[in-house]
Amino acid sequence: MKASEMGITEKLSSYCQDILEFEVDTDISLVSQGVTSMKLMQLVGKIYEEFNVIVDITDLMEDVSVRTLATLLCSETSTDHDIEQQSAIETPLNEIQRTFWDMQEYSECKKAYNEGVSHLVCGDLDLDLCKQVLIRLVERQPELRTAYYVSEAKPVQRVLEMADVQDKLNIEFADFSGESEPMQAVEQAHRALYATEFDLSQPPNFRVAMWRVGPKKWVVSWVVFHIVTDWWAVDILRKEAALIYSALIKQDGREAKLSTVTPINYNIDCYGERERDEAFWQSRFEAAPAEVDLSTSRRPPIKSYKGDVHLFELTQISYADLNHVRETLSVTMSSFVFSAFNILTSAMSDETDITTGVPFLNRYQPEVQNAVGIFVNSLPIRIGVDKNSHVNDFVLSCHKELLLAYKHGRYPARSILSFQNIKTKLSRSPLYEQLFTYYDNTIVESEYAEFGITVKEIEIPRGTCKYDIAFFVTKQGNALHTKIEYTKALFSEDDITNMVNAYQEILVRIRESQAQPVGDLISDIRAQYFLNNVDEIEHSQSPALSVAE
Amino acid sequence: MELHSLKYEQDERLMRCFGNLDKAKSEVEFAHKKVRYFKDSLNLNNEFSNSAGLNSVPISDKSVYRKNFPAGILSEGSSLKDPYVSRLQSSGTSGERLVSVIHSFKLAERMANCLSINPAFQYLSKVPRIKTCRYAAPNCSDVECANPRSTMQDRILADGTLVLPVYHDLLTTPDSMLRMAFDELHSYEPDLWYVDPMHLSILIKKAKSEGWAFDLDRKFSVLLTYTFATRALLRQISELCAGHAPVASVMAMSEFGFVGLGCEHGNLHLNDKDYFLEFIQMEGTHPDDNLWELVITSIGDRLCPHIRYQTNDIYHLHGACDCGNSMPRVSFLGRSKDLLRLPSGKYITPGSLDEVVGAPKWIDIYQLTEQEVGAYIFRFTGNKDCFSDAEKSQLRQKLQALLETENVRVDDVNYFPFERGGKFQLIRKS
Ligand SMILES: [Zn+2]
Repeated sequence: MKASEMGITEKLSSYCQDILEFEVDTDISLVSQGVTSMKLMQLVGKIYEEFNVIVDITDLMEDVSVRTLATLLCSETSTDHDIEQQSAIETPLNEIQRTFWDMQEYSECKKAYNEGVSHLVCGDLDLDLCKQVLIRLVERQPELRTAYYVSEAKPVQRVLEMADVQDKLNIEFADFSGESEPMQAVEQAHRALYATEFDLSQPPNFRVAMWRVGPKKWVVSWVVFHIVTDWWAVDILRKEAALIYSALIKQDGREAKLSTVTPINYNIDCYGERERDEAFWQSRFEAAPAEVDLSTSRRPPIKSYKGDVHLFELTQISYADLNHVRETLSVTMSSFVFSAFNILTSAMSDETDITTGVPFLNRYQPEVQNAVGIFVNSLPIRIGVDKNSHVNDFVLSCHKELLLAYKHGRYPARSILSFQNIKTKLSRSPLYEQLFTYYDNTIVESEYAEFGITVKEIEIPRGTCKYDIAFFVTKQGNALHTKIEYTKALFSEDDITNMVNAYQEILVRIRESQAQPVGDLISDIRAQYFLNNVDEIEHSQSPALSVAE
Repeated sequence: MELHSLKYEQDERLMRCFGNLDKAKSEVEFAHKKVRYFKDSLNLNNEFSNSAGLNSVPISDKSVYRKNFPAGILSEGSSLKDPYVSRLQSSGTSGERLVSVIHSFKLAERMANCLSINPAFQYLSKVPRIKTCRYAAPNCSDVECANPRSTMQDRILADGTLVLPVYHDLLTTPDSMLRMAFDELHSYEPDLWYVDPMHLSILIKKAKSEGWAFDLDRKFSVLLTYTFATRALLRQISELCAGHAPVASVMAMSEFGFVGLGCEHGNLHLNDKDYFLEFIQMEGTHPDDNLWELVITSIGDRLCPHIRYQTNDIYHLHGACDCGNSMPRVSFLGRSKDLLRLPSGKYITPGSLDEVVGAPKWIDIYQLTEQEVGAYIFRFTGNKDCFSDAEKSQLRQKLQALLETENVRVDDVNYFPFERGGKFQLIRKS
């Protein structure tokens, strides 16, 4: 599934919730789930109201699912829109942009919010064409040439003319193919790339590097400060780059067929029904969230952003296994794996008030579906773990809470920080220190046979981490993988391995029975995996565990 | 919800408003930006942005929508060929016939919000695909329902509504056609009977006299529309449906689809979620007359927004209803041109007439005709066995009081003239 569709699916599911008054399975025909044609029509009306797009389902009434609606919607929204001349206009930053603007106060933090992606490219890559592709992309995507600065004491943004940035656009090139360990050299260069402190007033606020690692083998890395865009753009840029490259290489004078991207108006209709949303978040954070510590190590007095990353495959469990359980519980896969994560954090921290960050894509306006830009809003999802409840009820309650939060997901998380009881500390973020994300098939591996190139997304350590733990679960075919970014001051590599094993154990145990009390599962997992850690100092050894990968 | 701050005066007439004003204002702004007619004719000045209501926006009417159809009233970028564009045709003589276009999903939304007024109809929102049978005057639909040789397939509309066969002159409908209607009403197995109460009462009467038995075990609902549902008609319908099928009056207009529904207490509520409703005191009336002309602004119609659209329909406004629904409770009185005005200045409305007539067993259908000012004939048909002279003269006295004249004839008849297009007027001026 395309990234752009994921956000829309999220949104559509919440409309379904409103109109149909029950939770639908996004992959199954709505009619077969008992949705009446009147409700289906209301859903079409709601989509029209929100996206200004009429999705024509007349011919597929019986077969239409949330997923097909999302696909239809995406294909509709990618048509051209009028370009309104906005580039010369200076506009204030919105709340979500302010989150990243504020990070300039602490350079370690700012650097941790460099985002990006790396690819291993094999084949005859034409470097001159790559440069041209870059120029075209920056031409197309106004956000890639936006400057952020203070004007009249307020942070503002302005899209610069192409002429103002063109000279500064380049691809940084290095040849590591002669090194004995070229990938080690890449890792080092990669960390250096992520340590860039961008001067936001001087775009581009991104860097592109190409490292030659062998004959016809390149690592291409893009790093960008988060204020410019969310990870949605990775998908957009990758797709557009391929189309532009392909058009250029054919040299038939034809331009790549791409929709027009309008400069984003960040200050229009961004926050939904603000009062209603605020009331929801107020109700969730009337009291400050408990401080959840997943590590037994002493927390540094000033939050550290030095991090590492580890990847694991969950070999004891398959996607199909969990999908079966999730279906019986009628929750989404992301809710399902999220509830298991809550059990894990409760077992690790011995805490029952768990707040976790969950990124919400938040791309509402149809004209921004193909735009590079920052919309993602990481929502603090607060789960009260009732140890007497049974696993199935707990999973369902997590699912409901997620859906409710998504419903109010346009409310900028930054505003929650100013609620009365939320206190800021230097040692930790005020709402949560663990982030959880679930993706469907995001690892990209593409072959462009016509010009003999293959592109594979690869993970290279950045040396940074935004939270104590950022826990990613991804589906790759029938396998589930995890990616864990962690703060080195709090966790060792063994701690992380242990954590993943515990997570896997929780999924296995839930697969076997959903009727057990959550409290029992938590105590078992805690005893089996985490109480050892307390004794670790005495025994000075970590439990021997088999590690996948 | 009534906007109390919006009880203001328009041309010195009182006005009461219900609905979401912000949404109404965005509708006006949308029309001004995207619809050619309003682009050219509206001037959204400071008065518009500052005023508490829509007062500065001119009232539009049928002629605007007829003359500018389609290009001038459709929003930019939309076309009649777009998916979900439904065309609804008004009844009436060809010269004043109006074609309205609405997104079918807007129709669904309006229907859903109207149905929410009456809990007895709630179950319909769970019916996978509501099958409707329509039984009303032939002009009300665009299929050839008046052709006695038409088949059921000929009369099924795109949305799955079956239009039952009817004759131009209801009271002289051939028996074979009534039988056909009766049979189809059963074989099609509709969830909803969407009927003119007069037509249904004729069918009920015929079925009774011929011994045709209605199948009342299947779950269905009855919505009454098109003509004023008198107490006498309701009596006949409820004799059939009571305990089997919920019955309510629905307010529907070809320009909008569903506008309101009768609640569980039998009171009509108008939908102020999908429309911004302005009730303007009827010209030349006293506030105590409680006669209000309805002006409607659509909400969220991006195909063909209606801006302060004059319906020419007159309503009584009532206070809160015991059912607890916050949508405004009203009674529909009829078209403004059909209201009868006595020399004293008093208005006679179908509602006030029906209150006097009531529902005695000997009246099934009635009609009041004004022959000339101060001279009236009240015609009725009904069960002759229940008839009593005493009751008849009692009714005559009540009518004399209502009509403020001695000159009232009460005639027992077998036939009523229907207007062109098969419409029945409860109060006629000859
Ligand atoms: Zn009521």
